[in-house]
Amino acid sequence: MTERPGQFPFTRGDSPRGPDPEDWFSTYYSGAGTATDTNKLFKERFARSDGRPSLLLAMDLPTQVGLDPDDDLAVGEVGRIGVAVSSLDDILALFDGIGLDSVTSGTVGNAIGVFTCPLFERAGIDTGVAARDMRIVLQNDPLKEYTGRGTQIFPIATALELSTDVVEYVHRTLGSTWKPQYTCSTQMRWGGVSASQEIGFGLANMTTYVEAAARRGIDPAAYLSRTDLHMSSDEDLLGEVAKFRAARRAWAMLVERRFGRAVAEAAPLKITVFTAGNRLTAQRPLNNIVRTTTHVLAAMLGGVHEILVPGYDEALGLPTQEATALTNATKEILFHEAGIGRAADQLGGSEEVERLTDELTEEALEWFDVIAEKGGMVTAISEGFIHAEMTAGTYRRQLELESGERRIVGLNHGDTGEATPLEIFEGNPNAEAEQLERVGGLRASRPEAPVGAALLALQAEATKKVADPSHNLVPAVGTCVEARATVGEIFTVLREVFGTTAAPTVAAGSIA
Amino acid sequence: MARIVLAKPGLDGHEAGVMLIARALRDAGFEVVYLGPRQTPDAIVAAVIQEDADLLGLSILTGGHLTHSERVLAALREHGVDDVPLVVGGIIPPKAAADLRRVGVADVFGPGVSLGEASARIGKLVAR
Repeated sequence: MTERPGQFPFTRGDSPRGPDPEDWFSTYYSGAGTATDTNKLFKERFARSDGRPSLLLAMDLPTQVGLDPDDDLAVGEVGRIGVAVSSLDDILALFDGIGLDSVTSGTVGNAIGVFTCPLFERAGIDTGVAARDMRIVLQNDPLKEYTGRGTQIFPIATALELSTDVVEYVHRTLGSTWKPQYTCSTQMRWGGVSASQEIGFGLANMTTYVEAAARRGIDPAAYLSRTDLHMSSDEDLLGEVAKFRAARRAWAMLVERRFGRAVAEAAPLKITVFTAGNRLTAQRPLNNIVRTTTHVLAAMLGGVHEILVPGYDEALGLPTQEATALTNATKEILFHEAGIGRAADQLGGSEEVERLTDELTEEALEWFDVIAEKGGMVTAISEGFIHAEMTAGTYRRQLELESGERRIVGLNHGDTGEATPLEIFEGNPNAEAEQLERVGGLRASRPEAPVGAALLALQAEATKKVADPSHNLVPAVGTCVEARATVGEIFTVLREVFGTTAAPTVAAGSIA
Repeated sequence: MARIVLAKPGLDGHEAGVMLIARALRDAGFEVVYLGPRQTPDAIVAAVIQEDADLLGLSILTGGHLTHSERVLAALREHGVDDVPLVVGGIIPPKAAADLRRVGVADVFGPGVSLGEASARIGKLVAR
C-alpha cells in the first residue's frame, strides 16, 4: 500500500493515528417529554459519564418545524419523539444543574438552525458561560429534510440561505468550539439509496453548503475545518468499511478538483456516524444487539469519529435507559476488550476491502457528477430525483425480503418465533399538557412590549433578506429569543415573509 | 376499481413505509391517492369525500397513533362518513393495536407485515 493514514487522499484516515477513541464514547442523542423530564435524564447520564459527555438534544417534531405546542398540527406530537423546546426558558431548564461548559451539546433541528444557534448562545449568556467555553454542535442541514425526514419549512433556496446565516454568524462571532453545520447522508441511506449513492449525494450536499458559505466570504478550508459528513453504518461490514474509506478518498479528489491541492490536503473529510437504525427489527429485538455491534464495528474500522447508536428497542419506541447504556458498552467492549481502533485503518490492505474501496470511489464520483449535471443538489431534490432513488431502493429490498432472496434472521430466516416481550420506554404521558402550561405561563408572565418589538424587527429584517439573501437573520432571531418569544411566534413571522414549501407529495401514478 | 386514500397525519415526514404500501397496493390493482405528510384530520376527511374513497389508510411512526386515529375517526363521523374503513400502519406495538381496534380502527399493520399480506387484508376490507 502506497497510501498512508493522514495523508492525501486520506483513504486510510484523516489523521496518522486514526480517530481519538474517546470521541466514540459518551455521545448520546436523546430527549423526550418536557425540558424538566429531559433534564432528569441528562443529569443521570452526566453523573455516569467520565469527562465531558456529548448530550445532543432530540427535539420533538413541533419544535423542529417551528410550531408552538398549542398549534392544531402539534396535537399528539408534543414531547413525543424528542423534547419540547418552545423558548429560551426550556433550554435553561434542560441544562439546569449541569452547566453548558461541562458538556458538548447541540441539536439536529435542521429547519430551525437560525433559532437553535441563538438559543444556545443566549443560554450561555444567561448562565454566565462564555461562548468559547461551550462546545456546540448544530446539524443545520436543511437539504436532508427535503428527502429524508420531512421537517422542512421554507422553500428550499430560502432554507439554504437561512442555514448559511448560522454558518456565517458562528464563523464570525462564536469561535472554533462551535460547529455550525454538518452534512447528514444518514437518512438518505435509511430511505433506500446504495452505499455509493450515499457518498455521492452526501458529498453533493456538502458541496452545496461549502459554496453557499463561500458566497458569504467564508474560506472553503475554514468551512471544512469545522464540519463533517454524518453517515449511516449499515449491515454489510466490509462494504461499509470500504464506504468510509471511499468517501474520504472521493472527497479529497473532489476538493482538489474544485479548490486545489492545498485545500484538499488541509481539510480531509471527517466522518461521524449514526448506525443503521433502519435495520433494527421489531421482531426478536435482542437480535438487534448483534446487528448494532457489526454496525459499530464497521464504523470503528472505517476510521470515523463520533458514533451514535440507536437502542436495540429502536423499532419499538424511544430507547430505555438500559438500551442506551448498552450502546455505549458496545463501543467500549469493542475498543477496550477486542482492540478495535488501536491503530488506524486496521483492515487496510485486505484484498476485498481495497477492491470495494476502489469500486465505491468510482461509483460515488459518478453519482456526484449525475447531480452536478442536473445543476446541483437543490435542483436534483426539487425534481424528485433523490426521492425516487430512495423509494426504488426500498421497494427492491422489500421484494428481496418477501421472496426470501435476502435473509434477515428473526424476520424471514432462522428462529422467527415470538420473543419475550421487552420493557418499552414509557414517556411522560402528561408532557403535552405540561408543555401547554409552560408556554401559557411564559406568555402570561413575560413583558409583552419587548416581544412585540423584537418580532416586528425580525419581520423587517426578514423582508430585507428577500431582496438580499445574504442578509443575516441570526442577530434578529437572537433578540426575539432573548425577549422570550416562542419558537412558533418566531417562525410564524418567517413563514409569513418567506412562504412555506409544500411537503414533497408524490402522486400515486408517479411512484416509481 | 377500489380507491384507497393514504395519508400521514401529524408532523412526521418519514415516508418510506407509506410509499412502499402505496406502490404495493397499486400493483395489486387498487387506485391509490397518497396525500403526503402533515395532513390535518379535516384535510384527510375532505380528500376521502372528494375522492369517494373505499378505504382510508394512515401511516404513523411517531407513537401518536391513538391520538391521530381518534381525531380522524371523529372527523369522519362529524362529516357523516360511516362506510369507509380506517386502517393504520407504522411502528405500532402489539398492545397498542388492540387499543386502536377498540376505538374503531378496522385493521392495524405493524412492523413485519408483508406487502402481500397487507394488500390481501385491505382487499378483504374493501370487498365487504
